[in-house]
Amino acid sequence: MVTRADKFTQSAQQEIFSDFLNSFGVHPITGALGKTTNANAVKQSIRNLIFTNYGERFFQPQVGGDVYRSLFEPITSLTSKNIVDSITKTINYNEPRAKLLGVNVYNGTDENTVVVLVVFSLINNSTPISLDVTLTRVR
Amino acid sequence: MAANSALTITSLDFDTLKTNLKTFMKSQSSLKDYDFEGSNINVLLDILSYNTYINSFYTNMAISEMFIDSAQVRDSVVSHAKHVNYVPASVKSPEALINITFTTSGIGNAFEIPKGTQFSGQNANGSFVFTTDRNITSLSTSNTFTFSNVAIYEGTYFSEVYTVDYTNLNQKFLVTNPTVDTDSLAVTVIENNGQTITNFSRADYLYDVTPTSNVFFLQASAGGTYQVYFGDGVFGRTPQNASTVLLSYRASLGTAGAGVTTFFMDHDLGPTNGGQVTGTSITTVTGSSNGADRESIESIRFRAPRAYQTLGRAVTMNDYRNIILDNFNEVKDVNIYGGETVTGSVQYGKVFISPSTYSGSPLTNQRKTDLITFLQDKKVLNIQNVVIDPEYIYIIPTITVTVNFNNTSLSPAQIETMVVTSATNFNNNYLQLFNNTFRFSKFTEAIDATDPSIVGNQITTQVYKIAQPALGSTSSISTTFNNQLIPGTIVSSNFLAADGNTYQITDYNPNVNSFSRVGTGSSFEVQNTNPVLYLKLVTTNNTVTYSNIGSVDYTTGTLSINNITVIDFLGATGIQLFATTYYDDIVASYNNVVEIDLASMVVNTAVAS
Repeated sequence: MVTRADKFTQSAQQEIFSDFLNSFGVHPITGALGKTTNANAVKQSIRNLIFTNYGERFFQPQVGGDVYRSLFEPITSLTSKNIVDSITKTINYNEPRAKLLGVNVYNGTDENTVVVLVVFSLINNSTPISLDVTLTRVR
Repeated sequence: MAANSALTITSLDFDTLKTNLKTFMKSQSSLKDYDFEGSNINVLLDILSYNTYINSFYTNMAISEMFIDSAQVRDSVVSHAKHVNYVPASVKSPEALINITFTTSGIGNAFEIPKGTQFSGQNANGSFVFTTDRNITSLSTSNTFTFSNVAIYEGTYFSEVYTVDYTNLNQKFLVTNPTVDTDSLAVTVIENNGQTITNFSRADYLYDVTPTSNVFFLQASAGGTYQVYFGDGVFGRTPQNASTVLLSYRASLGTAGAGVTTFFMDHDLGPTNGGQVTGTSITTVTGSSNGADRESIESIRFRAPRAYQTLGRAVTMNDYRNIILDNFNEVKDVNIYGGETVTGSVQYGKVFISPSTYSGSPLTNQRKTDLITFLQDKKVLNIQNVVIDPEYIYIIPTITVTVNFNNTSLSPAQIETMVVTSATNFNNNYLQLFNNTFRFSKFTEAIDATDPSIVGNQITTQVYKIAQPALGSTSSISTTFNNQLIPGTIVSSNFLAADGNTYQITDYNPNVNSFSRVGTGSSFEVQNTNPVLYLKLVTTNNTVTYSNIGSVDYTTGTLSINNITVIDFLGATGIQLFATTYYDDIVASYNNVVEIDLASMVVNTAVAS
């Protein structure tokens, strides 16, 4: 939970990384395009990479985590390893801002989802940051 | 692409476009993650780059098609050619000449073969239909009607009918069949409710076209089709509204129909002539030849500007060349030279036209007549045009390549095969066209370049021409190499004469001591003070006799053979007249074409010491 003190700390931080939101959301008062910055921007980027399939990006067929390839695979240790390898590879190759500390994959409670836990730190800050990504069927 | 940097606009590559956008993004600070593949702004840059890439691609393609030099689509090239009044050549039907004799009953004194009468024949490509292109009538008081030298053309006739409607501003009179032979196109206009039937003739230029001229113009249209259009009332008459336009033409399969030598009649012409045909005999005078396929894009690109340069006139040599190549699709190359340039036989006031065809056979007499007629109103007034068949000088090289086998794993046989390929390429690339002289040094260079293991070569050459006197009748032969010949090297292939003996022609008679060596050391020439050609007879008891048969001019390479009667070439296509040229280079001039006789070429290898 982000405390008021955290907010002050964040606002005082220098804006090194910045990207607009996945939702294209705008500021409710100013109407400016909503932004995410620094660690959150990197987290959003990693999330995007994981959900990108091979061949989805123009002229960059190798960009992406390609986890949807495992959608209909049985949840076995081999499948989990494939997902870990894919995610590790895409972060190492395509997200130079993140120093990957670990990727863990485990089953969701209902056996129909996979939860990916990515732990990384920013290259300019050694504080570990964790990111949970839940892979679930869309239909 | 930053605001303060030069625009980079030459690249069509996606990555470069995206790099340019990233450079632009560096000039702002609102969104900084444009350089990381997972960021949203990076995805947006992908979309922008892709859109720019697609736009650039289409612009590039569209602009390429705007110029005749760079257009790739045939319709674009054809459209550009239209600007300079160039009509791309259509498919051309192969032509054959046949004699036909009908035995009939119940028919009067006249027998007609109507236009479009069908014949059929076969070659290695399949069965083909041939048709007559006009009505031909023979008169006879007996029941036998004979037609000689009837020209038949591969292809069948089609017709298309249009009703002129000037309220339709987009009306076009299209020949929709892309395999049309436009030479066969006939345009008939039926006006006044069928009361007036007028045949329109084709005009390519506006010369002599008046408001009442019954002419049509032809231009290429999309998809390989052609469009007929009429005059505007100033240049050429405009057909009446609601009149009927009938387009009749022959559709052909082009060169595929060449080489048919036996023909059969498909139609029974008895009923059309009011009686019965009880027997039909067809003999072939000349098999089908000289067809052509539709003109290629590269050919249009090359010829259209030159046709514009010529403007329908035959004045200079290039004019002749361009206008003949434009209008005689079966002609592969043509050499033009003035009679005043012919060494030893100056003929002022004549222009010699020597066309070679894609099929390799000479133009038929009919096509030669067509060519002369075609040039009649385009040439300078007091010039006489003469069509002369091309003559071929065949070269037989004997090649010995010296090979360092320590530098290669190839076997002698493989080296020899590669040398043959080099010679074949040289033949295809540098010879076989008019005025393409055989350059000995270039040939040895090409042979040396075959493989790095070849350290040198020794090449000797012999040349020959083929004389084809009519079999069974006495005739004289005169043929010119237009290259200086070495005395004592002339010899012919064997042939059978009317007396049943086998003969050769040669300039060397051991019984006449006319040869001498002029010069000293390695610099000398052989001279012959008695330049006579002999008929050499080898009898069954090996007694050799020589009798004078003609003369030779070694300087011009002219062989004159008088009054010879040949009844068989003994397996050859004619009498091969072999000789050795004085110079290593073998010049192709006038109507001569030089090419290597690859089948007779000899290739050996020697081990480098």
